[in-house]
Amino acid sequence: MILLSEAADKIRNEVTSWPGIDARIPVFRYDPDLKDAREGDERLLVEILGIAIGLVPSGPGDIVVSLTGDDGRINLEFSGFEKCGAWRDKNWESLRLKAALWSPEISLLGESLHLTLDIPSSTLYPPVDMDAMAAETGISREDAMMIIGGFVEQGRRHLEQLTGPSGGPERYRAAHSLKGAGKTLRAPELAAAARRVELEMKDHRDGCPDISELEAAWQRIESWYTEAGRL
Amino acid sequence: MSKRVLYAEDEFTNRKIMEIQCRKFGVECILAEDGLKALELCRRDRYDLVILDQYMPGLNGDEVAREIRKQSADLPMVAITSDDECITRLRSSGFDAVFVKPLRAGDYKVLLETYIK
Repeated sequence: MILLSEAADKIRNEVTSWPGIDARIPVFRYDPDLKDAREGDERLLVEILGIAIGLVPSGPGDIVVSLTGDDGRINLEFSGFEKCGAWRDKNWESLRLKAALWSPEISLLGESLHLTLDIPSSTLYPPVDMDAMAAETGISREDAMMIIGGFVEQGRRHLEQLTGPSGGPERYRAAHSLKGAGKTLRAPELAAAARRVELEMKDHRDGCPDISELEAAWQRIESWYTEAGRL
Repeated sequence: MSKRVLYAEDEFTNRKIMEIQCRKFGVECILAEDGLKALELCRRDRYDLVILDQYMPGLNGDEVAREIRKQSADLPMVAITSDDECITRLRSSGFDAVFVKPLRAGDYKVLLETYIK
């Protein structure tokens, strides 16, 4: 599972250690309607973003990466390209090969690189993908089901911490834990909602976050588990 | 006698998966829910590998690692984090390796085959 905003954070952090990048750290701009949770391998997307950013020739301005798209695909626009000579770089081929799984469409328009990838929204799928969880972590379906059940029983305390009397750092930690659990369980809505709360808490640690989306995601997992238990 | 792993992690799902993976590899897994508990267990018993989540209540993984290193210079320690920002810092905190969450089947294999002496 991929969280687009997290993949963007990861590559931005990685880029800071690149030699010669100077102040050209990428700035990501999102369409607010773009769904954050996506199907696929987050590490692969981070790698692809890195190759694309590496293709941007050095220059004085920021590297701006704009993300738009729909439930089926994402469009990335990397600004700051100099068209002349860019296609000769061997990394272009590398970008195409790495992204092959997602049917990449790559083009240069003016000073921007446009990359379209078929990465569907995870929210089109069930609230928990037990089969993916079992396959990706190397455990049995029975064990995966047992873990989901344990999470439903025990994980609510994290939700309660978010609105309870505990301080900002504990609330931040609770959101972080729920995001991690969401990713482990392959529960995209939970992971994406927890990520939003985590980001909110990062900026305003003393605030009381809006957890309505998180609650809704939680309830869908609970219902899914109850229903699955009956089958 | 089976090898013993101490795994400190505050999140239930990750603890359970590690426990299952350890069983598959014939390794005894002792679990701690926070950093303080991990430190206490480490002072009391002997382990072949210590695996620490970075972000935990009480003490974070790097804080626990620094304390453990004062007692044992050669005990293998591995950090697990979902936060890429702290990888460099963790590497300089005495960890032998840093793994990024979510861990996959292959990661568990590498972790349990490579870092247990």
